Amino acid sequence: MRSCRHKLVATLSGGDFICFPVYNGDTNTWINRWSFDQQTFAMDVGGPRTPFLRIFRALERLFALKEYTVTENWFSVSAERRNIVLYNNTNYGVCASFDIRYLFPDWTIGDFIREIEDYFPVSLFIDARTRTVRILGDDEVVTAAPAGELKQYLERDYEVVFNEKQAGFDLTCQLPDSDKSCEGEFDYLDQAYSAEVYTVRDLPLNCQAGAVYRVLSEGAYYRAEVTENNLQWQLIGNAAMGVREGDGDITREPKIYPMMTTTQLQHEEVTITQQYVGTKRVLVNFSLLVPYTQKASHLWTQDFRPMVYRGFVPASIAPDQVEAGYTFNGNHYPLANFVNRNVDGTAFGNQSFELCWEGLKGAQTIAFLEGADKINAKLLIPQPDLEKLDTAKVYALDGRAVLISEMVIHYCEGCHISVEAVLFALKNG
Amino acid sequence: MKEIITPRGKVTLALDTVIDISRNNPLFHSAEAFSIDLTVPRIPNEKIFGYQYRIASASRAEPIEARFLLNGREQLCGSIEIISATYESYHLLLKGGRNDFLFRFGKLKLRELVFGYEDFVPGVSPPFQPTDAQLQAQIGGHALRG
Repeated sequence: MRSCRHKLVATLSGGDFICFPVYNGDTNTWINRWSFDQQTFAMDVGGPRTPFLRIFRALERLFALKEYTVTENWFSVSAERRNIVLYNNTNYGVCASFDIRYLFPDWTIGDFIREIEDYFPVSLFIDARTRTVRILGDDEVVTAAPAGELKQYLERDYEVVFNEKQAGFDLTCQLPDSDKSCEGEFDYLDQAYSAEVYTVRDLPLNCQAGAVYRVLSEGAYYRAEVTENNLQWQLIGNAAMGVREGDGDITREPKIYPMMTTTQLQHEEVTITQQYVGTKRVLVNFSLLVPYTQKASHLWTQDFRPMVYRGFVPASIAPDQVEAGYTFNGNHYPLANFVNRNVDGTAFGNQSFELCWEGLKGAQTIAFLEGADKINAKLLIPQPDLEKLDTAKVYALDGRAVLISEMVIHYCEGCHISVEAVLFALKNG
Repeated sequence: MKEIITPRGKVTLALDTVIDISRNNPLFHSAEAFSIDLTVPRIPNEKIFGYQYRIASASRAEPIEARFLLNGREQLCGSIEIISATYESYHLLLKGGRNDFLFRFGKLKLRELVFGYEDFVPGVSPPFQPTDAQLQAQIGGHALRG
């Protein structure tokens, strides 16, 4: 059992998977429950144990199975991104081993790739000729320096006109109704709120009914409701599914959406010490920020939820929980969440992102799209040059940075190939 | 020179065959697929597509893997479906997807792949490992309830 615990803890620093505690509000149970007393996962307490697979390895292994090699991977370029994992709710009680396919739900490869591209600001550029895959950040693609000039390939006398404005778009989400934690009463859209507080404990005791507060540590919205002169704060939404406003309309029914996080109390007997006096065993309430689900096993559906493992962070202990003069220092636990906030509401110093769905693409890409001219061009390209033309690269045309959106290639005899291209050109200035 | 190669041999194209293929940037388009209507002469291609009167309907015809080459260099991979056949010609549909990968593998269920086995607590037997049939039944059951 000891080696079992050691292996589980060891997975936090390496390997293809990570373990961290998750609370199930529906069954009042923990997955990978952490023991502050034993400073490891509480394997002897019972409850399911589940490893959560790192996304970068899931993608690498998926493509490797079909003999493709991932040569660039947005998910593996930093320690923080390598810690993005897929929480799996298809828990088969894996304790000693797992077969990764059991962690994957009832999705196709196509579903998986499309959802990864939609949820995260990445695109997958797959090259069948070299059997390689580049998983590139959308923002990095659109802000790259031009890799070449297209002017030389323009058909003779063809004038490029930069005049058709690319329309903006709006986004709405439809969440699955099979998951209780995503039911209709949660408004995942942009939510106006009166104020921000760090944790649920900081919500005011007196407040006007109907006021909405954002709790930073959870990334959640709470609304004040008064019944029989009692003020109660109701969880009404989740900032993680915030969407942008603008023109146009795109509706998507996501399969990936982040789990909510919550501040949860864990009751445990631990040893506290007082210098020169001794030790004693006491029950302590630890306040942890943890991912939580409301799914009972019979409501489990086939979905993925990304979380970011944030490292060992301290749980909060209320001052009255440990007797004056005594101390308890071993209160760190492995935390994962979607929001870049600690349990006390402070932003993590070494963490840069939150798993908030930003509407199909990253901020730079959206800015590029909304500031771009959509233009049509006719090109005549030698076959070797056409094969080198890379849609993941920015090119220059008439002094403008352009990305190739679409190409219709007319394969004909001769050394040049005719291509009708739709280009997005970044506006000057 | 344009060529379409299948495992059953090279497709003989008509002299005036035009092949236009669209390619999309995955940054702006969530799916990239193409389909091209092709009409090819029957007699030189009968060994590939079969005897015309045996092709009762397109749905019964098995798609055939195909690679499109220009001047000996592969431009794309896909498959050919036979839409119809007459005495003179076959009407074909050449289909493909984003650089072949999604087209070939996109509809495969993840659970059908053998991802490999990782022993994360050596020497301890797992309490329960579902068989494929159990897994499928469990997922199907949940989907119905969901």
